[in-house]
Amino acid sequence: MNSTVTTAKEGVMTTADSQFQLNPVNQRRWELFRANRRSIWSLWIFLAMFTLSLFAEFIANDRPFFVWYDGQAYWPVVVDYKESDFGGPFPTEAVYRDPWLKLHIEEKGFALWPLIPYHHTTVDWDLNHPAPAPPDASHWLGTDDQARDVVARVIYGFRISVLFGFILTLLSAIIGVGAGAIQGYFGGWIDLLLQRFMEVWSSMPTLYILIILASVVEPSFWWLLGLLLLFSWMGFVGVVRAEFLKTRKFEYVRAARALGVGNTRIILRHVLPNALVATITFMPFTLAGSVTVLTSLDFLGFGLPPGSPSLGELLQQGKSNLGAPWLGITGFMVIGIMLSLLIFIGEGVRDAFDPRKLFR
Amino acid sequence: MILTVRDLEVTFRVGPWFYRRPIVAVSRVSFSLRAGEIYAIVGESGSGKTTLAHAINGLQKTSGGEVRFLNKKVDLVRTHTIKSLRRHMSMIFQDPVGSLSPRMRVGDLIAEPFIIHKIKRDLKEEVHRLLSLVGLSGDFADRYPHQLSGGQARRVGVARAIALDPQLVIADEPTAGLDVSVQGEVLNLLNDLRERLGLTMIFISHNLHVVHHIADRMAVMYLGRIVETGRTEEIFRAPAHPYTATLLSATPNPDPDKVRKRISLNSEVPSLLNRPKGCEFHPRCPWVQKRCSRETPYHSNQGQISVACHTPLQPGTQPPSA
Repeated sequence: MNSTVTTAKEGVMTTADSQFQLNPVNQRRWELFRANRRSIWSLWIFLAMFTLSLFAEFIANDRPFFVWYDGQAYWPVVVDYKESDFGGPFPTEAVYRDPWLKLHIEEKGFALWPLIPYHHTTVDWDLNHPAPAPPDASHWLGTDDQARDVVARVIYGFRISVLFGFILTLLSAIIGVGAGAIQGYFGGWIDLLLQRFMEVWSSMPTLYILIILASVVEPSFWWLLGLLLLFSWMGFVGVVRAEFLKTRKFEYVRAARALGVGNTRIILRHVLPNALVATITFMPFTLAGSVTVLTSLDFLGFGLPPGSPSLGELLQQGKSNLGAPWLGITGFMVIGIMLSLLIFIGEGVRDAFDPRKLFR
Repeated sequence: MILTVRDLEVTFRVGPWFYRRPIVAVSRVSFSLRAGEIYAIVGESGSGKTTLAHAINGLQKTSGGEVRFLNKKVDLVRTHTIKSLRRHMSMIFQDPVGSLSPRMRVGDLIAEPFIIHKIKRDLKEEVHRLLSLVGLSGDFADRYPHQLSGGQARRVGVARAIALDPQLVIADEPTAGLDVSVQGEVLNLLNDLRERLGLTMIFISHNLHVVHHIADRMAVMYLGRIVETGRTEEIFRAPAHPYTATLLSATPNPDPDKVRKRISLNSEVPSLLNRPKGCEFHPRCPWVQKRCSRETPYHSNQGQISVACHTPLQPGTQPPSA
């Protein structure tokens, strides 16, 4: 509907791009955000790290991403091949780190390995030191106490933390905004009941409940997400509810109602856009919070299933292997940098959406 | 009759739950409206004009009486009836900018009535037609409300209100918050639209000059009641209710040579929580008599005017010198 009205205007210069152009307010916000050098740098660095980590399989993996063997091309990262495909005796899954297979491939072609030739699950049996091994040329940040490469685990751990945070934040925002909107818009009994329910619900000791629940079910990525979602949505309700309580008495809401606009449309089109500013301002901080909760659960051993690459588990290993400081330091640095970047971005967003700065 | 209002009553409840008191904001209001007519409702701030307008549109719960629009009862409970009624009855709100959603473009705002009532038209064309009807160029479709001046925002509000060719437009102080020259423009616009589209309108205002300029008939409200109603010229020529006479005498007159005697009132507007007994205007009335504090006056006809007063003023009556 937007496009039918706004784009199709003859003889106006802005015709073609008016749909893709930010409106003046958002343009100003983007300028404000860009003017904050710390935030914009944090955003680019974070985006670069996140994008790289999305392609973690091509950066840290125990299989080459390209094999040229006997005049044929193979893509082991994407496709699973059998050992027999490379002239091995058994039709089992190819283990590319196996010296025999390595040599065999070298004879009839070549293999292109990722920068870090270890997957986060790869156990390096050829260590010169007992695990955890200190940093050296083959393991830049050493290995953990199960002889797995720390760099590989950090890359995968970063990815899973951020993805977890993103999904949790998004789902919390959807549920929280929905609940806040209904409470604020309808008010009265609905508001009262939901508000009391939330007071009870939010006074539950979240971490203990999660620990208890984690002992009942085997926590997987999605289980944890669901469990944390039970409590994290409430963070958004307050701001949205307040905005709706304020706005529902405004004259443009009355005007919309007098035209015959239904409640759903009033909520979505007339009131919600005002509440979104508060929500968006909130999101980077919720994201940082979600990452922290996941990390602390992992640290306590109630988080992601064993074997998952997780920053919390790295910290836990650092704690139990004080003789291997590279574990603790790496975990601390990665989490510290990630959270700092998120907070810096959040501050930039918050300031960019500040109406007092907007119209100055 | 397009609209019939009979014994309409709106009650608010105020105070904490253990001491909840009713406030009657609109009390036993009756009037009816023919097609093509402009009916003005005037009164002080707090006299219940806006509440009355909201009650007619179904924005406000009523506690008594009924509103019939196009022979159907305006009923808050049945949402589909009220939606179909609102297709034919539109409102213009007091605050020109505040009644436009801040995050929607003018084009979307004007197109919205067509969308919600599922009227298939070329929206772009309709928006342009309506914008030019209210004297704005097509470029305005891309603007946001905060980019409009008060007068432009008011025009957008009018365009939105007349979008679906409504049978009735309720204009709640359409000139409030605009400076005098823009007020004039808006009134001319409304007058013009009325002639071109044959609008029927309820025009709420506290500006008597404006009412004189635009309305065919008018009603004067005091503490939520209509105290006097009739043809505008009649009332302006010879007001029958003392309150109307007072309002008229308080209107500034641009003619410096014309000396008018101001009628001054005795006290403040009484609280709605503590309505005076008898005639509710009696504590302030310069012509007050004994029976006014005991008996409630009912509407009676005085010439062409219907007035709720025990001793309506005769044409040419001078206020008693106090």
